[in-house]
Amino acid sequence: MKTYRSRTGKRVLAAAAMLSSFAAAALAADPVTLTVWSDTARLSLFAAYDDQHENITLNVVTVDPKDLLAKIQLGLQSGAEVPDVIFMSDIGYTSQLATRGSNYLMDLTGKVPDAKLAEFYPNANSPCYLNGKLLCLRNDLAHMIVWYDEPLMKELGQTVPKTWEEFAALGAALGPKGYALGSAVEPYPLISYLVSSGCELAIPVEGATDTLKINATSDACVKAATMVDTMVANGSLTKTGPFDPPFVALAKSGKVPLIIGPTWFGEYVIKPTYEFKPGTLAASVPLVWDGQAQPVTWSWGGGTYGGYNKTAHPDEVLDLIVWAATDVSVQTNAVTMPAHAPAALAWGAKLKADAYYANAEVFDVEVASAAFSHPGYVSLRIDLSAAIAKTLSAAISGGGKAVDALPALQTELTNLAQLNKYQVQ
Amino acid sequence: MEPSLLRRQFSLSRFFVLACLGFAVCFYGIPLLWLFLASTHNQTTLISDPPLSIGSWQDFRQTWVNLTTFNDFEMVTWALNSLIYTVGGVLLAIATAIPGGYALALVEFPGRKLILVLTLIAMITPSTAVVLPIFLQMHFLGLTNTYTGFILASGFFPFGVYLAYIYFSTSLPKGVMDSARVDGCTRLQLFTKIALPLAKPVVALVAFFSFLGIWSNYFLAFVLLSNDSLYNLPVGLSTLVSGSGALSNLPTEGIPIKKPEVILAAILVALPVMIIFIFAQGRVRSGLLTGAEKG
Amino acid sequence: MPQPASPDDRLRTKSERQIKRRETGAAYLFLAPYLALLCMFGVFPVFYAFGLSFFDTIEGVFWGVTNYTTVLGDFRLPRSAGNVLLFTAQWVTMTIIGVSVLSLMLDAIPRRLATTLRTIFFLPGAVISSALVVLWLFVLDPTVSPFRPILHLAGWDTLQSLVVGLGYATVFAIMSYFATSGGWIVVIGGALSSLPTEVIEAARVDGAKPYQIALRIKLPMIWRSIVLMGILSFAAGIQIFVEPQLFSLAGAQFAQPDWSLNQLAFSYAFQMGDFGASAALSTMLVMVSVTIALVIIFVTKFYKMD
Repeated sequence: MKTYRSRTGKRVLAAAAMLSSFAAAALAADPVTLTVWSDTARLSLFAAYDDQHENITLNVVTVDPKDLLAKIQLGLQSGAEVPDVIFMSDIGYTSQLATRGSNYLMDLTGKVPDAKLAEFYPNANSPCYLNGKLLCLRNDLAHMIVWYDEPLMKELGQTVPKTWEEFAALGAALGPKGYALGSAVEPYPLISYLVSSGCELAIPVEGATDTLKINATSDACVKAATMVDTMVANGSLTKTGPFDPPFVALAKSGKVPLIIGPTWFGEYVIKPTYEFKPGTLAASVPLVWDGQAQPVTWSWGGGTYGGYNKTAHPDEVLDLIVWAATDVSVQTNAVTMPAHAPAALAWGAKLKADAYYANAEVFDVEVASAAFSHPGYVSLRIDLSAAIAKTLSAAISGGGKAVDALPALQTELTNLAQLNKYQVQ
Repeated sequence: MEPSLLRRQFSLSRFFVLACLGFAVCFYGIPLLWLFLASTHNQTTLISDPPLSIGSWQDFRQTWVNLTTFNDFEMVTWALNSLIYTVGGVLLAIATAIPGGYALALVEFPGRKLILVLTLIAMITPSTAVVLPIFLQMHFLGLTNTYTGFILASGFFPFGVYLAYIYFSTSLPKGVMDSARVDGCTRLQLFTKIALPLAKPVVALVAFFSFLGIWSNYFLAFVLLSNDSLYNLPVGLSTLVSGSGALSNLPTEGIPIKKPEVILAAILVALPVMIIFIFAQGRVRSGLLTGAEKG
Repeated sequence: MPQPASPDDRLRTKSERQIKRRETGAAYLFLAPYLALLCMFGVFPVFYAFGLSFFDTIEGVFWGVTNYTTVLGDFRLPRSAGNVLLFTAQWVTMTIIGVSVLSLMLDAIPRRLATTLRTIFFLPGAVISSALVVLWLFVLDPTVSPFRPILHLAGWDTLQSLVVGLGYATVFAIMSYFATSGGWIVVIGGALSSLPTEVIEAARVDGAKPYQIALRIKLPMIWRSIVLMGILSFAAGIQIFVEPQLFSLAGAQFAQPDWSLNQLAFSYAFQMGDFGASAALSTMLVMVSVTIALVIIFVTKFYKMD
């Protein structure tokens, strides 16, 4: 119905334009239809674009995010319909859609105004740069920060840690009493513990094409892994995942005073699942290791928008991508923290006013922490999370030590990288 | 009728049999029971309440509303599509399998062995191996994203031909066939006069097994249909579920699709199959009886 | 054997030949719709995939066995093959023992009860595989499972400890057995009730106990069905895909994206965009299936006309 109505509107507009100037009509009113593959959460965003743009009709198809790659591969292979614009729920998709085998993504380098790019948070677009080329725009941020239950921490007589050493000490003090500070088996937090010390799991080498630095057995990695092992031993990091019923039960019963989690944890995990009481949840910036100048923090999630390199309407595609990632009014109502700073500030007003949080500074902490985003949180053709799951998580849940599993991780990552045609340093 | 084990006196073997069957009933039944009961819980009580407890009617209703009203009742469209695909596919499967199996069973002709061998191979060929070629071919024929395309693909049911072949080669009364043949009928004329009226059990069998396959087909539907208004229930629900982050715990806003909705969706897809099996069990078994010795 | 033919004989042979030809034509007429589908969805795709496996599918260049060497050199291949074999061995064993035992037992209890039980055993097969994984994630999790006491008794208090304790192959085997065995119980039940009652009756008159009848008389009479079931299960088992693929729903720490061979084929095609390598791996899997099909044909004399 809606599509029909807007098409009629366009025809009227075209007729009116033709009266005034033939050339202008061709430019302004040439109706363009773009095919968009979206996930369910982004449907309203694309609908808003459709409404606001007279000459553009969006044919939005809901695609199962896990099937996005497969569907695009089929389209590319057969010449069947390939979408003009896609939302990628996994940052890995960018590099997987820019290979010789699946050359889908449009190169946005030099096409997005520099001023716009500068408005993104530091390293927000790292997952979109591949060998120096910009292939997508980041929709939302998901960097790890420290979440804590303010009254509970006071009650326990503890201060919020600023360093990893203090975090480990907090675990040593509270673990034996049945308190937990997070999961030791969920891959993303585990990666964040490891990389915080400078451990290089699969970091692109600057200036070298498709080259990764993999050193999972370095001192930095051993230091972080040892901390994990100690905390697993004293019970402050659990062998269950953060969404598993035992951990959820623990959190609900007030036994999780502090947890390191991504920016969306507050709204989508702690509030609805852990059910911290209103007015208790506070946040603090990522931790540093002793002697480290400033923290580096890993991320957990964040989607991106990309376009088709053989689209018939490159200008409209570019416009839609930039609009989706940066339009302040539409991003104000986004699900998660926008990667575009002006949009994020508008978005954060709601968070600041939300009485659920212990104070209005949670959003400020999220903004401040964004500056510490790890530049190595990039799009890879290898699945870092699955590699961690198979080695470290499996070892820890089987009663083993993370430190002992580091060589296996090194082998797994090196093999995976070579299989996916990376040079390994 | 053999005197049943139960009516005899207590014996160790009787106890053993009952214990084993009791264990099996738990193994198969309890998870199913859990599935049905879980749909009456909400996201929280699903975990906090004891397993196998009954939730509340309100929760069930809410789950039902959340699921069905999603995206303007899109689920109704998917259910309708599923119905069209399944009816079309089952009819096609019957129409191809019954005469095919009959010809293979009763006529010795050049190429027969090859067809049988190919049928058997097709029955056990991994679906991932052929998905891409099928897609390219259907795209070439302009049949992707069409009802016809998916019905054609799901109507290909080599197992049905195998069933019909086994059935006709074991169950047609040879005497009747021979005497009719003497009367001047060819074996193939016999098809409409004698074989078809006798074929009811195998029609039921082919219908049932092809129904099972087509109703819950995910892989082919996923490949051949990329327009969400043409999705069948399995693909539609899977899109809904993984798109909403119900199981991955990732953030999504305003989409009330959580674990109870996923469970209810699973029940909705399974229910027709369960009901049809309960009603068709007798027929399916009588169809199997005749085919069993050979297979 | 060709005989010197009298004119009369020749006439008969000729008319018989005519009938034969007519019958052949009619047989193909009957088979035509099926053959069309068989070519479209059976024969053509397999040969197409076979052809594809020798090409660089991106540039469309023939490059011989490169795809095969790529796949055979993949470090994940031995691991996945081992996983799949371990899974298949367990699943086939469970299916053969479980289905035979339950079918024989159902055959020895009152018919009405047997029908009810058979329905219960079959119903899990109606739940689509993605939902089955969700179901089992709850059933296997000792913290929320209805089998909680049993799992705790075995010393598993979390899903992690259970998966570590049992191993993925066993977990997947149990899941697959749950979904597929009911259908086989119906099929084998059919085979059992079609056995000639005279033999069983005679054995009973001779004083054979029910378990003796089951093991010594019924079992040997249905062994062909059981062998067929085993072989078909094996063919299906080496194709395992959904269970490991969806197990990550339990949490990212359980992700197994390259656990099985079919997952590798899938990831080559859809993640790496290398359809040639995918086709090569698929072709090798098809070869295994074809070998199995030939074994079935050999063992059961499948094509023999009675």
